[in-house]
This record gives sequence, structure tokens and C-alpha cells, in this order.
Amino acid sequence: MGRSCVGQSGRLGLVVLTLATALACSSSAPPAGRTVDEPTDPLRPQPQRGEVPADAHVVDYVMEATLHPDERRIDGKSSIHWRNTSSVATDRIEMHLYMNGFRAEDTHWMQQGRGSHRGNRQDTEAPWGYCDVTEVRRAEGPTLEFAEGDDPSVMTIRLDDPVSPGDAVDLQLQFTTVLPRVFARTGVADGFVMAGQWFPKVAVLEPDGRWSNHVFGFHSEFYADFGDYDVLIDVPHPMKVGATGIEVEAHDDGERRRVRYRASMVHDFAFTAWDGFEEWDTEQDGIRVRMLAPPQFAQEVPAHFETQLQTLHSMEERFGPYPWSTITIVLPPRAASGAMGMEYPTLYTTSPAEQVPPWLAPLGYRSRGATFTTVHEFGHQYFQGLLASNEYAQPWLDEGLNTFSNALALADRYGPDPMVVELAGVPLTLSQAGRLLAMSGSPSYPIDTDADGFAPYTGEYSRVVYRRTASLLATLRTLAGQERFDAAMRAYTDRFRFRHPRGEDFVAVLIEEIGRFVPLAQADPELGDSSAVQLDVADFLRQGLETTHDVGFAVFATRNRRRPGDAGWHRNAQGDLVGGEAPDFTAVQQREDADVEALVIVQRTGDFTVPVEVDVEFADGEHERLWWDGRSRLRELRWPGRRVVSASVDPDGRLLMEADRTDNHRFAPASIRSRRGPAQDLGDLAEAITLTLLLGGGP
Amino acid sequence: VTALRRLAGAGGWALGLWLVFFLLAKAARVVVATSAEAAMGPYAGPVPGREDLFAVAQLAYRDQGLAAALSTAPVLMALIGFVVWTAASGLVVARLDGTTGANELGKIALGSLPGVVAQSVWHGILRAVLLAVIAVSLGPLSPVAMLITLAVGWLLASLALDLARVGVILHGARPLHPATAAYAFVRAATRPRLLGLTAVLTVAQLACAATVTHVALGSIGPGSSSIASALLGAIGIAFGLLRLSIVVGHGTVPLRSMSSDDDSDAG
Repeated sequence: MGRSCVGQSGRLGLVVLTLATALACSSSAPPAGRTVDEPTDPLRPQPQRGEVPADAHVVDYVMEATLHPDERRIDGKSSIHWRNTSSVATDRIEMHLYMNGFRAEDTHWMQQGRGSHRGNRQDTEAPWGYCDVTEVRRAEGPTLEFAEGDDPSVMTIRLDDPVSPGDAVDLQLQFTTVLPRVFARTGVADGFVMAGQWFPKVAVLEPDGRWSNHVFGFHSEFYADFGDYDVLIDVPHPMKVGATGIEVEAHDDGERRRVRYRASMVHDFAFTAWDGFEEWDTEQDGIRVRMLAPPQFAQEVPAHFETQLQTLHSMEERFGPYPWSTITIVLPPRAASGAMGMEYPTLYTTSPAEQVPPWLAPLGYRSRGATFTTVHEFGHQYFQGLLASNEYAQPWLDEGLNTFSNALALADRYGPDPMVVELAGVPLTLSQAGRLLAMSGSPSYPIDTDADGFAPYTGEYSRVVYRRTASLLATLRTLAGQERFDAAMRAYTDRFRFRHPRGEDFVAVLIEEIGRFVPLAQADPELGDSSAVQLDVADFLRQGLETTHDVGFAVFATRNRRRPGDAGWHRNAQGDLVGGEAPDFTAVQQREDADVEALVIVQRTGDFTVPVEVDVEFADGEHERLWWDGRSRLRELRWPGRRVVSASVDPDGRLLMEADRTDNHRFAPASIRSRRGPAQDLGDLAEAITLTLLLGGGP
Repeated sequence: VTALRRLAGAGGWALGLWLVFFLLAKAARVVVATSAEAAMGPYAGPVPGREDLFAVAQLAYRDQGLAAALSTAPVLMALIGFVVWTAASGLVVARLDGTTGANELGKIALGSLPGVVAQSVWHGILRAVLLAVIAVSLGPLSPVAMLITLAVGWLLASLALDLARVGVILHGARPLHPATAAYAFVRAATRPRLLGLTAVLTVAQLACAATVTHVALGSIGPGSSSIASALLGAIGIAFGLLRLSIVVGHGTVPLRSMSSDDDSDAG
């Protein structure tokens, strides 16, 4: 841990080297072009992809999309084959028309977003997008009545004949979609097209016959059934196309380019088109990984590929095989930054690798987050591309589990609790970064809140759904044991592939696999513990998911005090009061150890009840570790005949939900061996910054 | 070698300047460390485990007053240092030029003070304009070219400031006129050998400046960076004063043309 001044003398060379490297280092870009054959089946072979349950296959689409980029328009035709997998007949088909979320200021999405998204503002010249359905009919049959809902992002088709359970219906739709200039994931920008939520899509009919067809909101957009897509995309020459699934056919007559894509067992279909794309590809275990990006990003393609392949490996090891045969990474041009960082089945958009500001290089800044968007968006292929939970009702099953899996992917790549940022060789780890991000007070919402329940612009959605979920699961993993927890996660992902898992399914699997109670410590009568300490997994998850309780512990007191002697009046065997000596008030420091008692009081400062470990360091150099069940607010621990030096609550940082650890360690008075600590570090920093400024601007 | 000899002759002033800078940096340290200890209360002391940078970040994040102290104390102390250096630069330049008598030194220092202040202001404006023009014109074309040109611009400006100050203090250049500052840039740009030599020293000084903070960041935890900071500060000041000494030795002829007595040579 110690870093001597002598050791630092060589850092000048390091600084110069860093500067020189930053200026001179430029790896050559890989050659663009196809090197891997496009797979012929959108799914990997059965032995590699695993089982695909037949009853999960609900809906198929055959579509034609003719793109007119100058008018931002897609002329579309769609043939839909939909099967009623519920237990009751239905007389209607509910549809998503999510592009209509961008149709006017009074849509649900716009009411929430108010024309901006992640810092990107709605354009004033091409602000609106919509999907206008012009005709719905049964295949080779009569036209059907249809109507948009109160919010135009949903639509209902009235069927002339109800569809009985197990029966299917074939529909044909014609529609025109107009894309906005992209500011919220989907749209166009200077010829670049990212078409997401561009076609009418069937909502989910739940097993009890109730339609789940939520309107398009600011925080969520996915909940649909699995099926096959066969889509003919017609774009102007020479636009290059990327889409969900595999390319099965391509014709180019010099004016128009017609590309057919086929996808299997996915719940959405998106495509991108642009004449500015270069294409790169690679392969792993029969999965073609394709990247489409502007040429100026060519040099960072290897970094995205490396991240993608390592994340793929991690996710497959942990959560089961990736079932599809392709993955397409789209890096939009900077003009389309609003399209960056979004997931669709077998295709996602990423963002440029983080550039280290030049002024940080001389300070020895290093980061491992450069391609984190790639990790995160690929993670969505599992959560919610494969485990297709209802993102509106329980967004934590999607974003939260994915964020948790991202942390595991980083750990698989770099080791446990990896460094994410480093300054001059001093690391900030992933868990520490997570704690810092959680330091802004108690959350306003429990994790298990629907997407619309989070007020926009509060930051609570990302804080709670993404990060609190991830830290909740990470905490459970450290308490329950990594192997047991990982096995439980694997059981969940195996059981609910190609399904629509709900929160209660997830909780049930965890309890079933981990066990309701995890023993942490035996009873310790010497310390007054009459019963063993154990983690109640169900209660832990209930608190974590359904309450806003914070995890917080502190060392309330650490001190040595005189051990009670036998001074005073006592009755002897005859019943007479004898003695009456004065108590011995010799200072604790001057007493024999046998006359001293170590006292440590630990405190639960948060409302979240969870067992916690306590480490006590004694004057003889020994440490004692014990578990406290954390149920009461305070716990007094005494060791007669010993002197305490310091005490730490949660010394190993297992409780990753605890944001503030500044009160987790406390020395006994007069026991601090060195005053060096964060206060002195900050003082040194202030001194150094002052000198840096003076030297930089002085003589 | 001559410049080194001149600097050695003014060693006391160099030491004095270092002491002022050192004390100002210590003052910033005391302000911040005391605030941080108060913020930590009974939890002050070493942090166990691998949490050094985290503990510092957490403390600064949790206590906004402390974060404010950390950001303002160094800036405030640096401003005081700049004022001290500006006020003392007449003395230092005169001493580097070989002046020894206390009366004469005081006379030069006091007499040149308004001019030094004015030239520092004009120079600051010109430096900002130069760097802004480089950033705006080259930034969209090539960030790498912009960074390199910005660095060259900064080195050029550092020499120009020295030339302007020396011109005012030693050679009677017009003390308040912006043309003196502007002409110093021209002189700096047209003296490639001088620019090259002083650029090396400026880079060395800036490297010391960056290394001070680098070392402090690297010392977060059980180590202390105070001694290293003091040493690097002394070395950095020596580089800066050596540069000034070179300019003092070099600047006699060219900047005489900027004298208010001899405006005909100014063009």
C-alpha cells in the first residue's frame, strides 16, 4: 500500500511517456469489408443455441419497407400471422404504433420527454414522427375496423370473428411511417437512418386473456411476443443496410437496393441504412459479429469487437447460449448521437469509445469504461431480448439485471471488482464507483415500480432501476456466496429463455436455488448472541425490491474503559455489608490489560435490515470477526480484559448497497497510529494543485 | 552557462520566491485538511483496505463545503502567488541583470511595477486571443494539430511575456502600451533559437507542475507527497528563473527598439 517518495521520483518519466503516447499512439485501423460469410440460419444450430420452446412462437411478420430518406418516409406492408396462446378467445388484436409517440406534443411520450432525450433536443425542422395505418384486412379477406387508442401509440383492430385459444389469424396491414430527425433513438440525421419502432407490432395477450398493451412512454418500449420476421428493405443505392437477423438476399439495380432480412424467435425488428457506413466483421463460435460505422471511427472498431466478444463469452458462460447467429453493432455518425446506445434484437447501437481528455493524461488517468456502451447494449440481448420481461411493468428485470450482468462481464474480463478509473496508479473500483453514484440520498421509489411511475428529469429511473437493482443483486451475491448465487441466476435464465418472466418468477427462482435462509454465523453466547445469524433471502429481496430503505451502518463508538472492579459495599456470608473501598479511577492507559474492557458499539443507520460483519482490531494485533444480524439499531460488543484499537463494520465491503462508508471505521481515542487519512490526502492534493498552478503560471 | 551564473547570483531571490510559493501551497493544504478533518469528525484516520481514492472522493462528494474549499483554496493561493510574483519580478529581473544595490533594486522594482502589471494584463489578453484563434481555427479540422499548435502557442507566449517584462524593466520599453506586449510576440516568433531554448525550459517547468499533482494523486493513501511537492516546486522555479535569466541576457538589443525614446525603431 505504501508508496514512497523515492518510488515516485520516476513518475516524471511516466508523465512524459504518457504525454508522448497520447500524442503519438495511433493503431492502424483494420481493413473494412466482409470476411465472414453471412449465416444461412438466423438461429445457431440446435446443439449450440439450446432448446427453443415451440409454444413461445406466437407471431410471424412478412414485411416490405420502402425507404425514402429525403422525405424520412417508409412505405410499409405487413402480413401478420398471430396465434392465440391465451386461455380465452379474443375479438380484437391490440397493436403498438410506437412511432406515434413522436407525432405531437400531446402524446404520452412527448408529455414526459418534452422534446428532449439524454441531452438531445427535438429538431425544429423535422420534429415529428408517426406511423399512419391506412388499411387492415384479413389475409385474402374483408377489411377490418381499427382505431388508435386515447394515446396514438396504441391501436386496436376489431376482428370480424373472434380467435379461439390455439387458433390463429392472418392480417395484412398497409402503413406509412415518417421518422423524426433522431433525438430519441429512432429517426434520421443527414442521410443516416435508424429505424426502430417503425412498424405496427402486435402487443402481448397474457395467458388469462388480458391484453398488455402499454402506451409508449419515456422510460420503456419493449414487451412483445417472439416470432419470425421476413423483411424486404428497399433503400436508395448505395445505402448500406444493417438489420435484425441475417441477410438472405440482396439486389442492387444502381438506383435502388433491395435487401431481405430474416430473423427467428425475436420480439422486434429494427434496421439502419446509410451510404456513409463502412462494414467490418468477425466471428466467434459460429456467430457473425458485424459492425457498421463511419470511416472516422475505424480505429476503434477493434476495441468494440474485443469488448463484444469478451462480453458474449461472459454472458454465454453465465446465462446460457446466445441463440442467434448474428449480432450487428451500429455506431451512428456524430450527427445522430441521439441514436447511440440502444438495443434491438440481434442489433444494437453503441457510442464512440470514450476519449481521455488530454489534460488528464499527465495525471495518469486510465479508464476501463471506454466501450461500456457496447457491454451494456449487448447485455440486453439477454435481458430483455431473450428473457422478454415486461419492460413497462417491471423495468428492473430488464435494465437492472442487465446492469448487474455488465458488472459481471467486466469482472470476468478484468478480475473481481475491477478498476474502472485510475489516477496516478490509485484505483477506483467498480463497486466504489457504484457507491459514489448512489450517494445522493435515499431513493424516491422502490425498485419494483412501473416505468411510468418514475418522474422524468429526476434521475431516479436510472438510479433505481439500473444501479440500485445491480447493487441489490451484487450484495445478495456476496452474502449468499458467489457460486450459489450464480447457479441461481443460471437457473432463472435457463428457465425463462424465450419467455416473459415476471418479478415474482425471478424472486421465486432465487429463493428456490439459494435457499430461504443463508447461514452466516453460529450463535456466540459470549457476545450475547443466543441464535445463529442468517440471511433471510426472501426478506432481503422484499426490502430491496419493494421499499426505498437504505443500507447504512456505522461504528458508533470504539473505546476502552475500565473494567468494573469489586469496590463498594457487599454483603458477606453473614449478611453484613463489608468493604466500602473507593473505586479505582486510574486512567485506562495506565491500567493492566486485565482491568480494561474493550467496547465497540455498531449502529444500523439505514432502515434496510441485513446482517453485517464487524471486524475489531485489538491492541495485541489480533483481529476478531463476527456477524451481527443488524435487526436492532445499536449493538454493543464488549471484550473484558482486552484493548481495542479500531473497529470496522462491513470491513470487506460486502454490502454493495451501502453508499456512504465514511463512518464504517473508527479508532479508539488515542489509538490512531497515524493521522494520515483522507483529510491529509485532500490537504496534499490542495497543496499540489496550488503548486501546479503557481508553476504553470509563475516565472 | 552565463544564464546559470546569473541565476546563481540571484539565488537568494529564487529561494525567496520558492519559500513564498511553498508557504502559499501549505496554506491551501491547511485550509483543506482542516475542513476535511472537521467533516470526518470522529472517523478521521487511516482507511483500511483498498479504499484510498474512494475515501477521498466520497468525502469530497458528501461534503459540498469541503469540495468548495478544495477548489477555491488552491486558486486563491495561486492568485496571491501571481500577484507576489508580478510585484517581485522587477526585483528578480534587475538582480538577474547584475544589479546588486538595495536602493537601486528597489528603485527599479517600484518604477517598473505599473509597467509590469500593464504588460501582464496586455499579454494575458493577447495570449487568450492567440490560443482561442488556434482552437477555433484548427479544432474542427484536426484535434491533434490543434493540440500541437496550442502547445507551441503557449511556449511562444511564455517567452513573449518574459521579453515584454524584461523590456519594460531593463530596457525602457513603453511600459503601458499594448504594442510592447504585441511586439514581444513578434520578437519571440522571430527568434527560433531563443524560442527553442526557452521552450525546453518551459516544458520542463510544466512537467514539474504536472508531476506535482501526479505525485500527490499517486500518494493518496499512507504516503505523503509534501516533500516531493516541495522539491519539484523548487526545481520548477529554477527552470522558470533560468528561462528568465536567458531572456535577460538575450533581450538587450531587440527590445531597446520598443523604447518610448526611440519609437522610430518600433516598426
